[in-house]
Amino acid sequence: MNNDDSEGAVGNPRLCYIGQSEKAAAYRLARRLFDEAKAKGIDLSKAHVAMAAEVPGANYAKIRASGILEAMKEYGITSYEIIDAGGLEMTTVEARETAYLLAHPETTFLIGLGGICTDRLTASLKAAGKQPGEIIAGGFDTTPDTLAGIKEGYVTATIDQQQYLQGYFAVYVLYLYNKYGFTPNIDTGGYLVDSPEKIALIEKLSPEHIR
Amino acid sequence: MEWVRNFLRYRAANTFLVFIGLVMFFSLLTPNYLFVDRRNLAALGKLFPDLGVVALGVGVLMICGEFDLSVSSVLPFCSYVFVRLLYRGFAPFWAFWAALGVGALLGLLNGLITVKTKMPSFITTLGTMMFWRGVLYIWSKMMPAGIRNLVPSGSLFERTFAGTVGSFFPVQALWFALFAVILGILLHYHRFGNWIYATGDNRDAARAMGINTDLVKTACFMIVGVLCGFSACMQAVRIGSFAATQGIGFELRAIAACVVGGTSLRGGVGSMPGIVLGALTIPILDNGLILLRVPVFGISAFIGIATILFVVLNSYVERKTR
Repeated sequence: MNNDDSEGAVGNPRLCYIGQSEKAAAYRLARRLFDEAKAKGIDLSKAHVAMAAEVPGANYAKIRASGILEAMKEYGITSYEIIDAGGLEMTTVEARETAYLLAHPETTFLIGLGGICTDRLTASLKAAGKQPGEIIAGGFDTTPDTLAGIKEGYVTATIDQQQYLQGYFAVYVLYLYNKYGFTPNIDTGGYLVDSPEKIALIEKLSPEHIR
Repeated sequence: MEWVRNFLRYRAANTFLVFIGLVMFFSLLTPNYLFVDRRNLAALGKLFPDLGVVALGVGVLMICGEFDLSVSSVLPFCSYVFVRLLYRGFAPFWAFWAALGVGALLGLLNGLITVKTKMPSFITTLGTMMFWRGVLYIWSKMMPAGIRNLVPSGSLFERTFAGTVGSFFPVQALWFALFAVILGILLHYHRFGNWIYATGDNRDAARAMGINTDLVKTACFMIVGVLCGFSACMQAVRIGSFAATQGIGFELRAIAACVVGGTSLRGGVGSMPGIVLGALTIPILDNGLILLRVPVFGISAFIGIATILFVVLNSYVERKTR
């Protein structure tokens, strides 16, 4: 559960996988962000995508980046850079994202490939003097500052991989496997959080560790 | 040119010269002079003290001849104590003092284990680093916890730890300066500072002089713990939440900052101006290189090389001027 082999069932003799399809989720997120840009009349052929990764070599970051690259191809975007955000420490991540935004005014999209990079998007955009929506930003997970960023208009969308379901279905599937031999692959993720209504539900259930 | 020679005799002088060179290099060569751009200076001033405040304490402890690798766990542990107390309805003021108290207590434990068992502090604090992080992960379940509604933006507490002075100058930088001055006075103008140098330089000789070296070392560990507690609250208020990954990597970055600032790994040598310069140099390097549009994907390699060159140059200049 949670993190699949980069080749899925082909690369790993696992029975089944319960978790987010990282590539599909990233692809969905990227399309949402690129559509937002199109609606604003931004020329995507000149757009630059910056992707910040806490752990650049991590499997999740690589697969998510590949999903974003696939969407970029469809929308005719060619310019991109993957940023080493400097690890899991929030201050380091914020410092690097801010400096990158200042040094790369050509940045159209800033995407956090992980939860920490996404959490720091709003603070970095503010520190770099950007207005809400000036840079189209998005990412993964639903940490407190990511949700605040969506409310304030700095973050367009984030992906909720719905970890509760990963734990729930893991036990459920083991039971079914033991009883009937079922080995299903279940995609729990790709839930796009991009509106105040969706945030309200997450904020309500978050203290109970459900969302 | 006697005054130049006298100036260069100070260990921190070499660090200062290289630091000035670095600042001038980035100021002049970053596109559109971005390094000295108001937004960049504000971001730097706001972010570097998270590590910088911890590095001040780590530097004092290193002069005393000890290490503290547990800062990367003590910091998020204190942060979680702070956040939990806020959730339980405590006023931010009391939660803050409790976090500082917990930091002091964890520092005291580090000190007592080290001096009573005669174990190298590198090992003691490696163990406590892993222990407290494990306890934190179990206790917090690694769940982030937002505090924006408990410490609202614009509240007195928020402005005290994450606000600005004159709508520009980050208050975090002022806190860093205040701690640097206090610890500088303690280290260079107070009897306790002499005890720290004596203990770090030659423990047996210090004992023979009547200094309670165990007490001095334990007090230095407690200073680090309190500063971790302070930095934890400052960071939690700024980011508006607790994150279990707070402080990861701070243990080595703090030591690197102190070494860059001329603090000896063997104890007994170092100065507060040097530690301050070292604490500034590491984030400035990181920041300046990104502003120079160095590929960010491999920036750690550049920082690693630059840190080694900085220390080698520092040592070379020092040898030449002696």
